[in-house]
Amino acid sequence: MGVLELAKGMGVTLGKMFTKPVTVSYPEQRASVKPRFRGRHILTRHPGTGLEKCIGCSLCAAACPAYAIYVEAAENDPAHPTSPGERYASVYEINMLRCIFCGMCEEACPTGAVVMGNEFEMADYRYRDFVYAKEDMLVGVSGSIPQRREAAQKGKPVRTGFTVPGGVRPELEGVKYE
Amino acid sequence: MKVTVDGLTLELPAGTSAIDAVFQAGQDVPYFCAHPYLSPVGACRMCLVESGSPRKNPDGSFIMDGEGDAAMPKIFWFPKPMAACTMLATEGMHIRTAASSEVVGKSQAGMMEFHLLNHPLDCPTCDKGGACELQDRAFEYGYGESRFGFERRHAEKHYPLSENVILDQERCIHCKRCVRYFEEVPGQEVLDFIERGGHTFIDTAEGGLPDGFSGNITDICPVGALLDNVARFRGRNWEYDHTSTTCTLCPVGCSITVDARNGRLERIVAGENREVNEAWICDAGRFGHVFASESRLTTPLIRNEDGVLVPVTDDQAVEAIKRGMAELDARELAVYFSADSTLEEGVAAEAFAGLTGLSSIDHWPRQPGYGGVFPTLTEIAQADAVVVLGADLAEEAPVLELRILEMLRGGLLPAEFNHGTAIADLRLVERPARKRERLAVLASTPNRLMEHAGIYAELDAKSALAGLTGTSNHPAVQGAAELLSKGEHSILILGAEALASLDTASRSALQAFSLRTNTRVLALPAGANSRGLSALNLVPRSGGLSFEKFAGTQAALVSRLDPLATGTDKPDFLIVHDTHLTATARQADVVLPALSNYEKRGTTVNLEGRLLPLRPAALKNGESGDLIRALALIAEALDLKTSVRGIRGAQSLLGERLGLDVTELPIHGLRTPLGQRYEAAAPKYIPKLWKWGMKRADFPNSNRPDSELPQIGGMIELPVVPGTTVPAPKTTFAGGDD
Repeated sequence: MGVLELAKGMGVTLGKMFTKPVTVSYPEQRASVKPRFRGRHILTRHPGTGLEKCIGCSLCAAACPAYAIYVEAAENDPAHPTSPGERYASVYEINMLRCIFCGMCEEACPTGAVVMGNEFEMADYRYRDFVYAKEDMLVGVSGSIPQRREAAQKGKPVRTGFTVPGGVRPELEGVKYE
Repeated sequence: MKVTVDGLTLELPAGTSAIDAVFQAGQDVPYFCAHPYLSPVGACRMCLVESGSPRKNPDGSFIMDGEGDAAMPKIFWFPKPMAACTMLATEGMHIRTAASSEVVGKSQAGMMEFHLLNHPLDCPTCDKGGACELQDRAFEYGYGESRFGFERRHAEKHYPLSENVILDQERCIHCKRCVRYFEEVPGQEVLDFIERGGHTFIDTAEGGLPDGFSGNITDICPVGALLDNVARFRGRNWEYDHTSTTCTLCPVGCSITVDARNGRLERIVAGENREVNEAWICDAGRFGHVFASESRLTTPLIRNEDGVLVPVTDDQAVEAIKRGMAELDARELAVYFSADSTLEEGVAAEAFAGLTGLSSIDHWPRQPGYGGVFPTLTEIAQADAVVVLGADLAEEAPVLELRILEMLRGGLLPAEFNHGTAIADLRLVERPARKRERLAVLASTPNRLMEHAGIYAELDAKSALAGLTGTSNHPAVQGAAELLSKGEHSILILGAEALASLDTASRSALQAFSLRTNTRVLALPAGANSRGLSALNLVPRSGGLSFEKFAGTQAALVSRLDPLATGTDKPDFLIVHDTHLTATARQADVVLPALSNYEKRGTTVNLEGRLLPLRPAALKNGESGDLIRALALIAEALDLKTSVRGIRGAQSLLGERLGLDVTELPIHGLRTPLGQRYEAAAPKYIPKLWKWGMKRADFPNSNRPDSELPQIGGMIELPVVPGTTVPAPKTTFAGGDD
């Protein structure tokens, strides 16, 4: 190995010292994720009517390779429907500890109700806090269970530690990460 | 008869339909309208096959094809594909299915496309999804996509035909199974097609579907048009745990499949047992299962110092029994249990009685029986004269009614092939002629079967029986007696009323009559397993008290019976073994939680003496145990060593008694002589099919599906014990289906 090679190597190192770092000081600084990053699920609603897209068909649970989803269905009250049609999910739960974020549920969903969002900050202490129910995943709910708990304690709005440059996928209609 | 299917030649019995020939050859054709126990009508046109037969010359020789030794009878093919279900297979017939004929494959796919023209593709919300014949056949035989570009037909989506059956007219593919079922099986003309062509829809006459056997149409509907309203949206088909077992609501012993999800019994569908219920069950058996998952007792309860029942462990319950029985001798503890208990529980009770030397033991309901060789259900269906006396079969044994109606249609039991019961038996015809004159019904009140009987009268059972076996000037009784004496295979069915009226004189008169007229007598048992339990010594011994005198005992174990609901006195010390906190359980000193018959392993004996297996469905029942376990706990409290401590011990004891292995029973059952019968005087008992707890309305406090049940109570809340809290149940659990 000659001196020339050494100089070349040092040159690369030296050159990097003057470029912008790719690391971000998370969580003070927000990380950026790609729109197709598969994070915590979102249960979407029909735009306009605001009815839930989920019809409680359990196909996501059938497709789930990790058995993370549990659905119970019930009949819609025709006067105050939860979803269009006869059937809605009275219980919809995803165990985020079991979930492997493969996105098969999204693929199986016939109505596009369950969509993989971009959120990933779900670290918590108790097992039951990882079981996300409908009210934790419906569109409009921002933040994970621990983030919302912390926000409620501090009396501040939920602050997610990431941004999605270029905006979310069109499937995540109505979802805003800020 | 030789038939060639896709090049495979097989030998078939005459009368076989082409569809059965195809299945017997191991090939497959799709079908929606054919059903083994209904007439083939060729409504759906899915089972298209190419077929052809040889023809004969005027001299009787076959028209040959080819030269010399290579000559074969020439096959004259039909110009178009034929529906296999309505075509009789004939000697030398050749059949080509989709496996060997492109034309057939294309026709079937084309028919499939037609079926799907107006079918709403709402499989995700449809309860049939996952077990749907249309879905499966569309996947196997369809093109995969539709070329139909117009708007689909819109019709009534959720339209209740009765409390239990819900209709979705959009999903109907007009196979006519339900219409034919009602006409042919229960003989009720209540459903029919209205309008023509694509506008055709199914509807009932005013007033909806009649009670009785309406639930069967939810089983046979090949699509999700007719659905079980009790199980509506309770789970998807692939989420259920299926358990094949036997129904014990009445002594017929129908084969059923219990579908449970997350430990809750959500649905019951009929199983097939050619010898017993064919493919049909009654509405009570199908829809009356709500109690199995509502307000169940899950832990033992004992009465504390304040006089309230509190949940305890088994050990504490044993201590409480020990305290309660401290002043009493073990033989003072009377044992009473329900007559739908299994044979295994029966032998355990018998062993317990032998252990303590008790004299008060009884099962209820109990009815004086009638010996002799009783006919099987198939023999009833193939009889030529049946008299039903003093029985309301709709309450006592509903499916027996269907077998009697089958007798009126000629008792045609479809043939059996390698693939099971014949899919299309061409002897079964639409709107069959019924030989009403073969049936006589004599009962004190009008009942459903009378509508089909040639001879019927409202007569009290005692005088009807006396008239039948002696002399009578009532024309109906005379007619019935003549029917039985003329018939070659004549059968007399005695119901609860008739059996209650039997005395020594009428018994011997009946014996003489049955010998004289060569009539076989079927006495309907009072309880689901009365036939089996009467072969065990489970009646009061000398000095013992029978169940209706239960208040006179000092201490009693009452298993799945509710004598205090009618307000009699309670014994000094009362142990109740039950599934729910009944009126009796609320007054008990110790309550042990019981298994319902859907959760038991065991053996039951139906009205024809057939041993049928009970298998445990996966239901949530906490610490509940069967009677064997309750007796073992009591024996422990009494410091007695019992040989029967669990189901295995009971099974081996029962096996020794019957001389066969009851763990190896086929699901369709086995008839075997049960030996000596033990009888004792019994009060009059009129069975009722629907009991408390079988309908959802019986549990007004249950707010399924949003919350789980409380640990104890529900329909009947336990008194709140000061200073104690019942642990709150966990509301939901994720990923619960694995």
